[in-house]
Amino acid sequence: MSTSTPLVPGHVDALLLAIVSRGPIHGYAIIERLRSSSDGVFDLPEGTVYPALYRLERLGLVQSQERSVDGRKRRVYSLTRTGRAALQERKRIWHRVAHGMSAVLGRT
Amino acid sequence: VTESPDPIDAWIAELRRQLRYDPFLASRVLKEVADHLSDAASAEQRAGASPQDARRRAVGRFGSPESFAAGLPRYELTLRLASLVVATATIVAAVFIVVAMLRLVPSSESATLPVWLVAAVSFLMYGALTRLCVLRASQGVVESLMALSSAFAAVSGVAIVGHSGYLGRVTGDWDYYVIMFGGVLIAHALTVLLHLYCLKDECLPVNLPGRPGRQNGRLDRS
Repeated sequence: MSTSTPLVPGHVDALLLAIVSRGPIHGYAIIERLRSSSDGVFDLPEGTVYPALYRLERLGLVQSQERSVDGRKRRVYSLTRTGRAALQERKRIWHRVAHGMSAVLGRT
Repeated sequence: VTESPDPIDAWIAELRRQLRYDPFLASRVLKEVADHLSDAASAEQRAGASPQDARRRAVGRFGSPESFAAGLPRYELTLRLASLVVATATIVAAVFIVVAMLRLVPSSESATLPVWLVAAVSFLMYGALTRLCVLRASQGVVESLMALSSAFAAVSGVAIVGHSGYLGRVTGDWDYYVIMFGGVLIAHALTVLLHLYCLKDECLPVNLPGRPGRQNGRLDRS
């Protein structure tokens, strides 16, 4: 069951880039890894991940190619150099936002 | 008794129907999604679901084919089909020009034949190159034809200007020749612009299996 923590598109992109940055990975495994890495907090509707990946690919942040995975031809995604820089930038922004949120919410 | 259709097969069939006007996108998406649904069904089965229930749950987790298709970059369809239609029309125009040139132009107008020949070859090259780009021919073929067409455009452009200038000076009928070589030069300019357009990654954003793709507007050599 989806716990569906609300995410804005920018956050989805950052999460996908972070998962893909760990090495070539196919779409289904991306969703699984996102679910397990977030302890089930981010259980994205599965059909929303591929359009996001295609968009990131068109932006040149990820690239894809067919590879043999467990004896089957699968399309796997990996991060481009531009994608790695974009991920670093999004991490930096996120840390600032998180710091600011904690500072404000911690005082209430 | 009619057997109920397999949920994944039915889902994929509906997605195929949704993407029927974009075979390029469909050829990539359908296989990738089918693999995904197969993995999801296997996971459901490992969790204890029956095979049929597992496949039903897998498509349920993915959402409807209609909403999935709606989220895909559908404008590719317009770009690709428009490019193919224009390229095909250009090839047809090239053939028409050659036929008209050989059968309709009177011998008194034979001086104009080289210009029409250049126009026909230009149209043919543009059409062929665009079709190869859109259909993602091998990198070597595209680059060879692009180099050939660029060289042809440069040489023929200079030749047309010289030829038309010569005819204008001999006959004194400048208007006709200015229009003639002006038209061909416009065709060349359009060819260059459309080649550049075709090389943009926005035109060809999806890597098709087994063919070279592009990253950031460059051919992917990996």
